[in-house]
Amino acid sequence: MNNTQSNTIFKTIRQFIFITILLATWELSVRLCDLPSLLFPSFASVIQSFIAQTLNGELIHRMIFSLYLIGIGLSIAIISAMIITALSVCIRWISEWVQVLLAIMHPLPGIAILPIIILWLGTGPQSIIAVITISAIWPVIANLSIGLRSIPPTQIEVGRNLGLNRFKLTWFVLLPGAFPHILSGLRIAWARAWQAAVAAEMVFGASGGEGGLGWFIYKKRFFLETADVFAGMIVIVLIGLLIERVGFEWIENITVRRWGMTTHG
Amino acid sequence: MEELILNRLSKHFLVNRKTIQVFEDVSLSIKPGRFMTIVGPSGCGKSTLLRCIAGFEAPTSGSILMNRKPANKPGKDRMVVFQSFDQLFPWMTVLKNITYALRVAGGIRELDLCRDQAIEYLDLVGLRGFEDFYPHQLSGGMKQRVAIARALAVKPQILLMDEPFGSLDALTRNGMQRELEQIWERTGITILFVTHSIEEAILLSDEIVVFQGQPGRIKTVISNSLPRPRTPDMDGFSKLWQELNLHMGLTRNTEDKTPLRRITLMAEAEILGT
Repeated sequence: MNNTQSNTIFKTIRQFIFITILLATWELSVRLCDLPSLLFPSFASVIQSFIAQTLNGELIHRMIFSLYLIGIGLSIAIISAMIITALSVCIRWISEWVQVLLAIMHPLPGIAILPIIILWLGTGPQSIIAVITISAIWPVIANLSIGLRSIPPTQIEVGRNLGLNRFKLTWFVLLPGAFPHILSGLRIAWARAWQAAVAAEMVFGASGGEGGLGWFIYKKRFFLETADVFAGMIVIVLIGLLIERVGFEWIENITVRRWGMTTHG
Repeated sequence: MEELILNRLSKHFLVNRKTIQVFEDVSLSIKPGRFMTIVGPSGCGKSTLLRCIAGFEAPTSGSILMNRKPANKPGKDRMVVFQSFDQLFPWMTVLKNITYALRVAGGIRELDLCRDQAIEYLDLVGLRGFEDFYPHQLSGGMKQRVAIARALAVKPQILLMDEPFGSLDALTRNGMQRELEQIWERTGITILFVTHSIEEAILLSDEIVVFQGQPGRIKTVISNSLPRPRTPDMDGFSKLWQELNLHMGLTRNTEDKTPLRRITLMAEAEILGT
């Protein structure tokens, strides 16, 4: 336990050093080669606009808007995935349909559906939410069903032996047993939702002047405020890291790792 | 009065439109507190028979009576201990695995009472002090002990054991056999045990059912009254061992005809040929 903890700490330190070197190279090459700041703003100026845009509330406002859309889209995706999986466990032909749909829809990037979604739902937050949901639902369904199939049959039989009914068996045996796969499904779903949200916002982004981080970046590029574009990208990266490294890593540590059920390194 | 009665039980599967007869016309009865072992070669249907008794699979014909009542669904009166090490819930600690079983099957609501009883059963299998371990932190033998404790905690009428020590190394296996015998003597529970080891059958059981393969049927039932605790070098052990060997068709003369022996002979011939 302690050993793995100190190992992760050292790994984080090494990765931190690598990022610092990368940023220093950026700053130095901009200064030494005298690159045009419209195309390549220096790291210092990016940080400056990051601070300025954070203090004036613009970045935080955009970020909250994006996260709000993702929150709704992901929730719809997760709940529908659970309902669809539950139905396909109970009824065989639904499971066959879901398999076909999964094969067709899983490789299709959610953003590719945006033109159709705009035709159907218009250019408002509801279209972005729809794109997020469609991007995120397939990995959740796929991993949920893989997870259910990966549960050792003996554990299900122990549950039946103890007299668990269908509901209790699902809640107390199937869901925890499938949890390692559910967690990796959620990780992929989150990443896809995040990408879909930013990409969709860049296409129209706003209805009535309201928009998220993608819209922020798009607008700043339009006005050639390149440092602000980079500041927006930094926020996207930071949130991604925070959710992935702090959020998911923490959940994994207190569940799957503690139970010795890791599916990957 | 018999606790468990199997009445002309048969089971077949349909595989590719062909009927595979797993076992046929099996009639057995066990009295309360007895230790009965079904011994037979791999693939003779003895595990499927146990799974039918447990209610995980339905027999094709015949009936299973538990205290004169038909038993065709899984029930906590017939708790199973499996061979595989993954029968414990990995997301629960050792203690939680047992308290959970007590709560859902034993119907005990009070947490403290659950805990006390669970610790009592952990004590019985010699795992006191491992309450807060997760299954992946235990050795194979320890996992099987927890599984036995969990099954016993529910207070079943009969314990069904499907080669529970089959995946253990010889040394651990011997220790576990001795302990199971002690647990059986202390709790007075009825045990139906499935194994392919003749030695294990003699060491543990009062009655030995010799199963014959494809389709599985009972060849003979031998009662074993050797005094306990038993060791392989005691008087009468080797006589019983030879008798069982004879029934299972494993005597010296026929040994060369067993598939395994044939395969090694073929392999040797191949090596010599090249």
